[in-house]
Amino acid sequence: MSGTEPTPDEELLRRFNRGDARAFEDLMRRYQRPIYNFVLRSVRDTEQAAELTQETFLRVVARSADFQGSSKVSTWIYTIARNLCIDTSRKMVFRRHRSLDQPMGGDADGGEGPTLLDRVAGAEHGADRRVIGDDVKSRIAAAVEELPEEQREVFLMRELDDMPFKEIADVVGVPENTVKSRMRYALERLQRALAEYEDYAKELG
Amino acid sequence: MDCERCESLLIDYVSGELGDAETAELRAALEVCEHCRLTLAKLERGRALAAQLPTVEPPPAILAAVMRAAEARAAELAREHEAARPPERAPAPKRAIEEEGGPLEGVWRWLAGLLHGPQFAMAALLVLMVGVGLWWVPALTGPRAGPPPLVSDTPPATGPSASLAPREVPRLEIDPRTGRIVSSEEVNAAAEEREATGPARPIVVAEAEEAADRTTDRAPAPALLEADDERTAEADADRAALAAAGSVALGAGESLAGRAELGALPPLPAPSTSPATGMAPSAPYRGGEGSASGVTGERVARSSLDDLDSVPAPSPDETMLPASLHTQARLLARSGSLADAARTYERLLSEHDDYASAPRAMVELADVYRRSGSISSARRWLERAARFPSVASDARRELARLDAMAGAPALELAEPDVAGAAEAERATSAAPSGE
Repeated sequence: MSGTEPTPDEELLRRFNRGDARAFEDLMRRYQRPIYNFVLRSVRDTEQAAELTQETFLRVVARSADFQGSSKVSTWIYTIARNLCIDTSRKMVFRRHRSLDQPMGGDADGGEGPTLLDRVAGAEHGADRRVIGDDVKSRIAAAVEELPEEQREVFLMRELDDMPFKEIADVVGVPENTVKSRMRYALERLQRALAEYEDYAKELG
Repeated sequence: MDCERCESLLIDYVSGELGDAETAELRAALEVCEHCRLTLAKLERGRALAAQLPTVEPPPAILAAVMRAAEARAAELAREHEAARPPERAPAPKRAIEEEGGPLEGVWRWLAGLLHGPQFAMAALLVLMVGVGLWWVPALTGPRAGPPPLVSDTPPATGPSASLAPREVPRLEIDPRTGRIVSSEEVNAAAEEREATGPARPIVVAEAEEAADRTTDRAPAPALLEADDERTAEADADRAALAAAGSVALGAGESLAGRAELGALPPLPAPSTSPATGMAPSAPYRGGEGSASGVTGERVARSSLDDLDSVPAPSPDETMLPASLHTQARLLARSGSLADAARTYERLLSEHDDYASAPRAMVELADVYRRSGSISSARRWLERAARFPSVASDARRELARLDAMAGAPALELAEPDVAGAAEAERATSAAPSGE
């Protein structure tokens, strides 16, 4: 028996506006991971990403009754998250924060511990490819973080949440064709950055 | 299908969102275009890599913190929702009480109930508003007891207030000697004065001085012009055309815009045949590098200042924004704000991929990255810029410079890209040869 269709976001929000807190929890569980990763790849700081993600959903809580439904709920949530990232980046100096690829602190040996990316879920490769696989993922993540902001946000919304280009255009406020161009540039740049792992990528493909 | 159209469909194709008809059209184009096949291969590899982007589980504390707020808010929303619902009618009181008193007892009780209900409050408010309105409106429309309003007897022809409308619209003309907009009376007075005083000194000298003054006043900061190869090239083309036509040669820094009328001036050379650039509009940048249309808006061959009205104003949304971004990026780079400059250049190149000076902007962005130490980013942008013949030599020179700095061997640029870009430029400038 196929699973029932998930409750639409708009219905969850409506229920929350009538006092159903569990409906909001369902909504948040749906979006907290992609939103967190979207913010994380933008601000490149785990603490700040957690703070901004929390702030995003707190704003959704506070303004849920004001949501008119002129756009999709997902568009609205990403718009809030994006605006918070933009505000934060404006306050930050143009510098790299601690890279997600750097080993975590706390090691007496000087930081040879696991990286944050070592904790990602879903590593399904064989043991003989695990090292290469993790290295590729780290490089991919670094390359994504180095994308220009306009390309990165489009890329992340598309890849993290499979958001349609039209909806991304609504979030970003540019025409759909511009969104597609940015996505194309992002993919080309990613491919160039990972050129030395081309063979591995071909195996994946 | 040209490469520009093909590339616009590729992203939908790799995303699986292209319709059947367009897919067939794209596949037919891919069979004959190696450049597009290469682009498709890059996009497909990029997608394969993107699918491996690792994601991180958010800390559980986020959900916990938000849900505390959500539960409190939900309780509040529930109360508001209940309060907004229409109250249920209370069951009718038993009639036994009414039977104890007379018929008026029931009426009084009904009135008492009404007075305590919200309906009475609303009705009272409504009566109050109507009463105030009935009193206020006559007070507004009644006979005035003050000074008369400042309105002229005759209705104004135009404008919100007749007191502001001029009694007589002055007739304006363009002074043929100075090119300035002056009233007809001044023009006539000047003409009469000239007739009275005799022949004026040679117009050429006076106008050349005035033109030089105006150009100096209007010229942008010299720092921008010095680094702006396009405008220098265009100015060179202008001067060359005028010299060939036998007109008075413009001095350095002068432009046609500052010239007063000397009679019929020869038209400017068409952008596509500019000797300084020799570039036709290239795909995907429609304006073409070095084309006269683009950064500064359209240049119109003006043979007379009477054609000022025919000069099209650039649409701020279409033409001025990329030019403004470009100028802003340059200023930021010069002031040392390399991070902001890089972001502005990136934004310019992302949002305005049909901007005529985009290849030049790429070279400038590469320089910003080089100065900020991001050599790899600088190299990438130079490699991209090298695809465009108009800046290819500059890009290659900078790449060689980067290599010399790094001590690395010189890179071999992808020949198909350069050839493809040049081919696309020729295809759009000449008649389509078809494939």
